[in-house]
Amino acid sequence: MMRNGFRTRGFFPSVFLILGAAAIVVGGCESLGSIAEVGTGVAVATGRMTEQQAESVTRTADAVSRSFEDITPEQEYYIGRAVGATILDQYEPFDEQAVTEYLNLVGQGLAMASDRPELFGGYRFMALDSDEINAFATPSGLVFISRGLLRLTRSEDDVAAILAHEIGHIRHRHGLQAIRTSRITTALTSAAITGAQFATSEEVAELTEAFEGSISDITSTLVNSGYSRGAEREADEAAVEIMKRVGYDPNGLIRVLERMNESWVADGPGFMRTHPSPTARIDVVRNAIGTYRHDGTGSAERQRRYERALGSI
Amino acid sequence: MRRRLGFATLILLGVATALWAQTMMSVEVRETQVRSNPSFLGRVDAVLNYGDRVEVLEQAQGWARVRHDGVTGWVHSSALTTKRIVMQTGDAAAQREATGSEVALAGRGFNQEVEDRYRAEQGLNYDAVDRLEGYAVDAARLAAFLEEGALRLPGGDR
Repeated sequence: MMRNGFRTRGFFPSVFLILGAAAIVVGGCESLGSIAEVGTGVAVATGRMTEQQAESVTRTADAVSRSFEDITPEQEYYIGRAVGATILDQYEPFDEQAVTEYLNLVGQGLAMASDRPELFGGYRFMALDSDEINAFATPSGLVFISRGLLRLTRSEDDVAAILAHEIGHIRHRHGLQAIRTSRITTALTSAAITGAQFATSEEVAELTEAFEGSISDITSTLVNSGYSRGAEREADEAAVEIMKRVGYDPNGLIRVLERMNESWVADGPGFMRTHPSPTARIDVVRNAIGTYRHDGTGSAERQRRYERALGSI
Repeated sequence: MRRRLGFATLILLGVATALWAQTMMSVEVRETQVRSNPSFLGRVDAVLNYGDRVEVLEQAQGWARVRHDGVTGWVHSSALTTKRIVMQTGDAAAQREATGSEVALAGRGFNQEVEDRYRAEQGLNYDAVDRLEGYAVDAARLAAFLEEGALRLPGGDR
């Protein structure tokens, strides 16, 4: 009986350990790209393929497995800087010390409570000197909010709602998803990155072209076409979650959306061109808030500093 | 008895495999902090840089307890990747390895060189981006701002 019991207990852990070991071995196995590489290596060695043919096979196989998810935070950083430089070329920065400091204090707190607080170069927040009602986020963590949109806020919680929505876009990497796959493929499989040798000037030129195209894909999405409804829903849901975690009233997002709705004209400029109607978004936000009730603590101090920083925006 | 020994060997083998597979991760952001507890308000015990390898001891609620250079503490998981990051090097073997999915080459692809070229061609307002990136929020100032506003950050005192 004892022996049987021992065997029973002993058998299963061993099976799991073996399976575990097998999983580690399989898990450590090569991606599609590397398997193709091994295969082409053999073909080259046996003289059935030229080096050049082999390289093109390797690149094609690599291309299959590349998507926005393969973009490293370091590359995301350079993409985001270029998107930021483009936005700040089209919109004048509103660089007033008290406003910038306030936006960064509110924004950093929110970013730290998000699911993705760490970016290659970190989050930064800034106002744009524009009457348009709009806000943008670059993939690298730069968040811009127009004076027109800030004027629709009445409290720190309202400001937090807008910044948290933009942080949601960054956390879900929506900007990178706007890049055409062909450009990502070029960028991530060019010899300049897979690196058999250091990049030649033609390779840098090819990369720069893919870079230029990527920036244009993102900025035209941000400024003209907008993200999908699904992406806006994800950003709104992330905003509600972040606000609950930090202790802001997530109803701030509903209040801002209601005010945005008052200036809503179908096909109007700014957010009206790039976002679903505020009424549709309010339903999403109400669902996300659920039964949560904010107890109102800290509201007085938050109101005081909000008015001091943004009272005359 | 022989069977017992067989099982024991298998178990030992499993344990050895588990030890061999201890989780190593790399820092994939420019800089991050090792903190005394899993919270951005926790005391900073060390600073890690891009590409640094850490041993992950446990993970909880978005944070990883890690060991690096004899210092043990908490790093937010969003700063870490399971890939090994190879800093730019002329080492051909390391570069060939980077074609696999387990390794990333730092400073390759969309990098400073591509930015310089793009910037020279397009102009744009990179100066304003540089100024904004230079803007840093002081940690003590942020902690006071949160406290005065009755706000909190997720994370614990463990």
